[in-house]
Order: sequence, then structure tokens, then C-alpha cells
Amino acid sequence: MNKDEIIEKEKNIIIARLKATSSELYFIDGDDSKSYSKEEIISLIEQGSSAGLEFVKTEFEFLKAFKDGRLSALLAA
Amino acid sequence: MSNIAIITNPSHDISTEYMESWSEKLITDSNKNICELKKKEVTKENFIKKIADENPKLLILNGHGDKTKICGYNREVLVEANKNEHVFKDKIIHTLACSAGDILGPKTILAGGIAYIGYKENFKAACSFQKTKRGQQIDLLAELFFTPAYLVVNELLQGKTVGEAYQASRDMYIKNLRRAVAHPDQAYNDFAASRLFHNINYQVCWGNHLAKL
Repeated sequence: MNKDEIIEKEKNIIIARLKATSSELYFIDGDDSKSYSKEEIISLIEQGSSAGLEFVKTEFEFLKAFKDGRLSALLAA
Repeated sequence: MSNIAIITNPSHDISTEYMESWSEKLITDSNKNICELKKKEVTKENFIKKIADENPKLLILNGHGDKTKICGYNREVLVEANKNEHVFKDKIIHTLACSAGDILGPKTILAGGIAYIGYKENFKAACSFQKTKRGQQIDLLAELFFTPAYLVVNELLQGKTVGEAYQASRDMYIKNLRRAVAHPDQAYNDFAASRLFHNINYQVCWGNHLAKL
């Protein structure tokens, strides 16, 4: 699987997780002047915009930390 | 009595409005003398003049930023690395502004600042998009993020050292991360948790950890 395919797979995973969330949820993301609704974030991810990719990156950093044990270590501290 | 701190609250968009709501709830209720610059008052000229007039030891900056700068109302640059970071000389600085902890933070210490606590990447949060100040102050999602962020300032105002304040904030971030991970709602255990983890990873403290107000 090449890099583009990996990113595409990551995007699809995050979109599926966002769609599964029933709560009203907005994201304050860094230096942006607006907050994004769940639907707006899904659209940004699908478009491949920098804000969308930044969102995917944050989610995958977290999932990676969960997988490699860093999250457990932090929570156990 | 002179002011112990200056706080900037540009409040020109939803992110900075949330900062104002939570800093008001958590800091300005602390019975300390804190001078606040609000909305259009948060200009470079006013900020520099207020520092000269009040000479507070603590500066609390809420606003947008990037690796080298912190902004005020409508993104007017207040302080920028290699330009005017000397205004932070002999100060303890807390910034809730994206990424400025990366370059401006260390430059502040080189310019004679006592300590700098902030974030070297984007500060991230989740919320339920409340439009009123009261609504924002009771937004349970936002509370997970803003309470640990502003605990630094509260601890400093209570006489704790920079290092103790920083550690207290990190401890509360981790406590809130545990709450989020264990929460039955996916909004918390997935998307809020990832953002708390991000803020923990990128919160930084430069300078003298033993300093206090």
C-alpha cells in the first residue's frame, strides 16, 4: 500500500467514526477563526483540504499512541 | 494597588470567545488584581503601553498565533520573535495561542523572560458551539480543555512555582483524558480524547521552573 492509499484509508476510517457519533460536536482547531461541525469536518476531509488532513493527523497520532502503548503509559502515570 | 497581571481577550471569533468565557470563569474570579484588555482594546500599542504602565509580573495572552507570534484583536500582531520579544523581559507568560511555544517561547527566555508556558503546536478543543458566555462556561466538552489550560494561571496566582503550575495543568489534562477515554459517548472517548492527548504532547514550559509571582 503506498502513501496515498494509506492516507485514503485513514480518511475513510475517521469519516466512518465521525458519522457514528450522534452527539452535537464542534471542533476548535488551532489557528482557525471558526469552529467546525462534524459535517463540515467530514466535507473538509473528503476534499483533502489542509484543515481536513490536520484533523486526520490528530486522530491518527492518538490511535498510534493507543496501539504502541504510549497512551496506556500516560494514563497509568 | 497595582495589577499583578494583564490578560488579553480579543474575542473576535468563536475560538477566542471560548477563551474569554473560560478565562473569566477560571481566572478573573480569583480576587486578584488583573488588568484586562478586551476586544478592540487588544492592540499592540495598548498592550505595550499597559505593560509599561502596570509593570505586572504575569502576562496572560489569549488569542491566535503561530510559531513566531501572538496576536490580538483581528489578528494584529502583539509580539513577534526577533522583533519585540523583549517586552516579555522579567515576565512570566502564559499563552493560549497556537504554536507560539515553539519559537517565540524559547526566544522569550533568551530575551530575559522569566518563564513561558504555552503550546508548540495548535491548541485544539472540542465544544458544543454555545453562543452565549454562560452557555460556553457550562459547555461540558469545552470544560475538558479549558480547565487544565487555565489551571496554570490559577496555580501561579495562588503562589505556586512555574514548574508546579505546569505540572498541575498536565496532571489535570491527564485526569480529563482518563475521563474522556472512559466516557460512553464516542464524542468524548474518541474525538475529545485525541485532542486532549494532542494538547498534552505539545504543551511546553520554558525558563525558570522555580520562579513564582
